[in-house]
Amino acid sequence: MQEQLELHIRYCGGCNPTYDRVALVSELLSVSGWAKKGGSLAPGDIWLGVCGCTRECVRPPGGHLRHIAIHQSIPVLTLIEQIKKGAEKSWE
Amino acid sequence: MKTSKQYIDSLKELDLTVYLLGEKVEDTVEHPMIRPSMNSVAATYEYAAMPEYEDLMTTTSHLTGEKINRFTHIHQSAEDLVKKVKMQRLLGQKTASCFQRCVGLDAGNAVYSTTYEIDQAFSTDYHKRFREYWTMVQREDLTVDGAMTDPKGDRGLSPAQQADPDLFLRVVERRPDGVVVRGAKAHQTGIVNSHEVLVMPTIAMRPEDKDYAISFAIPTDTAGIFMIYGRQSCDTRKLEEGADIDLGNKKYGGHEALVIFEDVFVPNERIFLDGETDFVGMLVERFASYHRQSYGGCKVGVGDVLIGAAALAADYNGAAKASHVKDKLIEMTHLNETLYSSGIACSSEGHATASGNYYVDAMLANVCKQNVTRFPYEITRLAEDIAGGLMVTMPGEQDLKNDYLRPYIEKYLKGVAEVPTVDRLRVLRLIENITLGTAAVGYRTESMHGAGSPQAQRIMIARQANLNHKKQLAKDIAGIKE
Repeated sequence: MQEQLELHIRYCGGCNPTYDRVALVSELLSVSGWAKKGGSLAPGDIWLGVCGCTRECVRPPGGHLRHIAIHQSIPVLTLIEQIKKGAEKSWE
Repeated sequence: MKTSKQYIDSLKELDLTVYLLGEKVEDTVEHPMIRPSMNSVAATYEYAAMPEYEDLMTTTSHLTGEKINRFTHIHQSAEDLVKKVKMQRLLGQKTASCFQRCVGLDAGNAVYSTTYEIDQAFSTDYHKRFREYWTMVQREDLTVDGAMTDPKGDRGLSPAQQADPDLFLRVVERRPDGVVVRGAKAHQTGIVNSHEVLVMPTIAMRPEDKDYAISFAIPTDTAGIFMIYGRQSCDTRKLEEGADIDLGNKKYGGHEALVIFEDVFVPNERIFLDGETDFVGMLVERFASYHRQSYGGCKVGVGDVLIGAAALAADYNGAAKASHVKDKLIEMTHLNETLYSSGIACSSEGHATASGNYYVDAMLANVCKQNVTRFPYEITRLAEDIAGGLMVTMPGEQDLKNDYLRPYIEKYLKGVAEVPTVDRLRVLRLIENITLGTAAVGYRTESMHGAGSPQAQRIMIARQANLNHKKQLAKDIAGIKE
């Protein structure tokens, strides 16, 4: 059982994606049991930038967010670990 | 930060071993064939001290918090990458030459991020070593030669398969306190004007190439290192008494040399990769991409000078109003700005590596350099077209100094009446210098082969082309289900 997290999920424009971003996020939410969070961003929120390639066109706005960016297809369990690690970070 | 004078003085303290035209050079700083290239590097210090260029030429070190020359910076943002390109264009404009200091900057950034990732994989301490080393580079404002290209021998064979094992630089002895290396690095830009040499492997390697997978940095006057200075077309004009006009660019130049490492000791604290063959490809690719970005700045700056010289030649010839001349200058500008646009694009699309420094968009950097292998050739062709044949048939400076000949030269080589003949000759010599003289090494052939020959970029472009995505786009539009 994973710790319940809520993620602000933002996709890049997807002009040249090297993997199926939507499928990866869908798998992530399904395996982790985590939820998508809507509404405005607040300090401390976890912000997941889902980028199709390394250009990282979607970047978090300024503020004290804990952000994680994905650039390429990675195993979903690895991604879950990355997000959990990012979630443990204090505000920057 | 060093002033340009302090830089020059610091070079004088080095005990370099340099051969030129078959002779050992006693004073590399004052040698008339080397001095112009040293002036170009000195310009990187000179402009950093000028308030109007401070924003481009200097920044704050993330390692020390101190103000540093941008040529020693570890990029901390995409904006840093953009400023790097703009700085290079500026230096190209001011020197009309290769100013040599980019290669160490590019090597530094590549080694910085790669060592971090090697440490993550193997629990080594290369990154810590490199940070300490680079902190010294920044604090002492050193010029570093980034040395990648091995002689390579038979291109069809790997390092370990070569008939002569020294054709790729390698470790020949291991000691408790370091290693001994032997080999050579070819085409080393600016090595004679550098305090340090940062060595990297030249191609991706297999496990059997372990002894060739070595990266390190040592002073350029380390025992066992010697350099054989590369010739350039028209180079001995610099040895002519009182040479000025015939040089085209009297003050600035560039150089390359073949550098031999004859059993050179490298202490452990200066080794940043040793045997981790899995990471050699990453290091090579990162250095190459940074350096391909660089060409979107430096060559553009030199191109600005060449376009200006061609426009001046047209003015002096009385041809500036001809529509075809105007169109050729537009075409030259279009080509030059296209190079710049890809240099800026690959920078602004840069991203953070695991180590935190910023890396260019590798696809766009390779597109940038691929353009550089072509456009300067077309720009030089158009410059020669506008300049006219006189560029390569006119009398020399000695003839102008001859009291009998001078009036005839001034009379018959006059262009428009209000421009002194000597000015017309000067600008034609500048065009000659860039298109087929000493500076052509940097502006033409280096544009072709520097930072990797054209095919190297095409391989990188192919690797990142993402054709499956493009095929799917076509299928979706065409209504193809599978």
